[in-house]
Order: sequence, then structure tokens, then C-alpha cells
Amino acid sequence: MRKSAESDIKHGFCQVTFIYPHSHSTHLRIGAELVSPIASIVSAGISKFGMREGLYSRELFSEAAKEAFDNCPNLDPRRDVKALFVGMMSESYEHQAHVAPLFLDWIGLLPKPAFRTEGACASSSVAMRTALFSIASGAYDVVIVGGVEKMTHVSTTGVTEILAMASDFPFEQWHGISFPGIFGMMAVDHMHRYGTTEEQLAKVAVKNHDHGALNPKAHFQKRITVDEVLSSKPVAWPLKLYDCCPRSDGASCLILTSPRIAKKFTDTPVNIIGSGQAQDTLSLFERDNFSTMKAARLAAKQAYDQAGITPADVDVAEVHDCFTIAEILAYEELGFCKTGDGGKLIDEGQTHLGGKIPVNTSGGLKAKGHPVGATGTAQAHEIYLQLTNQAGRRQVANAEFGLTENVGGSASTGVVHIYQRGD
Amino acid sequence: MSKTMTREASKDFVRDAHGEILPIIENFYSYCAEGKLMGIKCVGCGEIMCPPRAICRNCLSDKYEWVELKSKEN
Repeated sequence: MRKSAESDIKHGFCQVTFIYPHSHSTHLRIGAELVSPIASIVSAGISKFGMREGLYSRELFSEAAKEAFDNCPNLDPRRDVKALFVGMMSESYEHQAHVAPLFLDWIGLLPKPAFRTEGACASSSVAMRTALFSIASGAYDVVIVGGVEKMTHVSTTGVTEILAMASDFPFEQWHGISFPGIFGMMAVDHMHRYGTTEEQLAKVAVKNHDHGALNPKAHFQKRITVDEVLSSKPVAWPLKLYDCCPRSDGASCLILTSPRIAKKFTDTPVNIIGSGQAQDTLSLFERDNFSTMKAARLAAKQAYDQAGITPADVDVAEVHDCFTIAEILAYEELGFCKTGDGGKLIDEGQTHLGGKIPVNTSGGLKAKGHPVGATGTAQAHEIYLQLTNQAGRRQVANAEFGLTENVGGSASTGVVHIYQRGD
Repeated sequence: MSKTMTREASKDFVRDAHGEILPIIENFYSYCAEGKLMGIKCVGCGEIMCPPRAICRNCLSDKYEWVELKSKEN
């Protein structure tokens, strides 16, 4: 790990020293990176995920924020928290834009500055990166970052249409494709190239439901079998109903501080030691290979380089399993196995709790649920629980390093964060 | 859970037994439909909020009771 961000900041905000770890690389350099550790998580909160009938997103966000405030008695939110960063994908669900001041008001923090980011399903991971920049620049020392989406009051057709807005309008939406079809094509390509099977995809869903059954905040807390997945209704072959995450309502948030002052708020902070982000074409067909998520791979490389660790060091990970194939691809892009071996990794059971690298101990998007704007910070919330020994029945023993991978659209946005326990 | 049931449960507090927030805005409007203008009173500091909200804007508490707002003449 490199020295702390503070020592590299010269005179107040705006003057940040960037380092360029990729100067040896043949890749296009995707932005400067910040020194590690960038920030610390001192508290986190999450609402119950699921069908939250009759609620508005502001109420869900309040539920998550209140939990984060209550979990950190040393924090006086109105005195200490300097800004809010929130990820939310769409105004269409509630006919409500301009949500940053709304949520800020509802959690009692007026008149602090509030920012909203949108990166489709990676909205709150992008909010997290924005928050990290604000801390590393010296602008703020304590911020709240979160995400929310209220979806279940809209029909499945309506939700699919709103989500499809994250694909290319003239070149994808016009032709009638939506995300199940896009990820279905990725699955077909992976099966064709590497021999991945429908059973292997099904095992991802089964594993994540096993984990979700241990998470009291998860949307689905019920185990399923491979046969149930294989015999569920087709959605976009080879993806069937149980290969797809649900639409969910929920919110999540984190309290981030500068690493220098984290111990003022808790004895057990979690440090964010790596952060990467990259983008890819908005439409899938413009890529030369449907079996990769290049944005996730490049984001992961940035994050690993910054953190100074390798995939083998990761003890627990939360990855973006909006469809089962996306988790198989994530294994490969994050370096948990070789390209093409994602199916074998799930066969070996190595990503199950008790395996070499437990993935999606929260239940993942598949079982915990996927209120799209909330997902990025919900993944970070799970890693925070794991690295502070608060994950209860799904605790990974002695976890030191955690990782989150969150993609937006067909991985047109990829964000990876790496965490280390800071006690 | 029917709306009436959630309203009844949230008469005194805006959370159910599991700590989950109850529909505050929907309940506000269902009171309106009965001709009642209701606000939420913070148990901690006495702040009255109308329209209601989930966290007290004064002391950040989440313990409330619903109170009916009436004009002074009554």
C-alpha cells in the first residue's frame, strides 16, 4: 500500500497529486488515479430490500441513512457530514428528478451540498468514486454516499422499458432489444466459445439464493435448486426466470471519511485502498467479443494496481450478477480464474461460502435484490460487514481484503473498488 | 399488508416491529381523505412536521406520533 493521500495533498482542496501506475502499459491510460488508502468507511446502513409497498424512495433512503447514523454513535451527522453523494438511475419510476436536495432534506442535513450521479446500474458506485475524489482533494473530510431505487410499483414491462433506456436508443432500443436479450447474447457467445453450460449458469443462481437465505435484508431468503432454475420460464434463451435478478426496492449508504480521522468515529474502519472505473461502447454489438466485459477488466486492473494486491489476495467479493452469465464473466474479468474458466469455477464450488473466494455472500443482485441505484453502495455495505465481522451467519472467517464489481448497462460502465480492514 | 393495516400500525411510530419504515406519505394522504390534516410529532424534541418525514429534521430521531393539526379557533 502506498502512503496516505493527505501527505500528497499540497495546499487545500483542488491540488491533488496524481500517480500514473500504467506508464509501462500499452493500454490507453484511463485517467489519473488517487493514492491509497483513499478513504475509510466508518459506518454503513441498508434498508430491507424487496417489495416495499406504499413507500417512496425518500423513505427508503431515510431508513438506510438512519441505520448508518445509529451504527456510529461518535458521529454527529449534522456537524460532521459535509456533503451527500447519491446514485439513482431513473426519474421515471416516481416522476421525480432533483433527488439530491430531496434526500438530503429527508435525512436532516440541509443545507449541505448534495450531488446525484447516474451510471445506470452502477449509479451509486459512480457516486462513491465522486465522493472519493471529494475526500482525496481535501474538499470534504466526512461525507455520506448512497443509492436508492423504488421500482416494484411499476410493472415488469414498465421496469424493463425504463432500464432499457440505459442501452443505445437508435441502435438497440429501436430494434426491440432489452437487457435480458443483451445478456442472453453474451451467454450464448460464452457457451459457444468456452463450452459453458446452462447448468453452470443455474449454479450461480442456486449459490446466490443459498447466501441470500442467510441475509435478513435480502429480497429472496429462500433456497432454490438447479432443477428449479432449469425448468423456470425462458426469458431470453439461455437465460430463464431464475437466471435474472428481480426488480426490487431498496436503499443503501456509507459514511466515508478521510483515512486520517477514521479512528475518531470507529475502532474498526474499512479502508478503500483501490478504485477503478472504465467505460465501453454503449451498445453491445459494437464490441469485438461478447464474452468480455472490458470496462470491468480495466477498472479491476486500476484498482488492483492502486491497492497493490492481486486477485489471489481477495478474501470476499461482491460482483454484479444482474443475470447469472454476468457473474461468470466477472470471475474472469476480476482474475478469479482464467478467461473461459468461469463455468468451471462455479462447478468447483470455490465461490460458495466456505470456498476459496466466496462471491456475493449477501445473495448478490440475484437474491438480495437489485434496486439499481442502491446496488453499488449495497455491495460496499456487504464488504464493510464482512471486514468488520458483522456478517452474522454468512461471515467469511478472517477476511482482510474485499472487492466490489459493479457494472452499468451491458458493462458500458465498470467500477471496481478494493477494501482492507483498517483495525 | 393492506393500507389500512399499515396506517393503524403506524399510528404511534413510523416503523414496524422489524425496524422497517411504514408508508408515511401514503398515510398522510389517507388521513387527508378522511378530512384530517395530520402532522408528525417527534417524541424526542417535540418538533411538529407537516408534511411528515421519516427522520426528525431537528434532532434526527425517528420516533414519532401522528397529531392532528387544527386551527386555533377550534
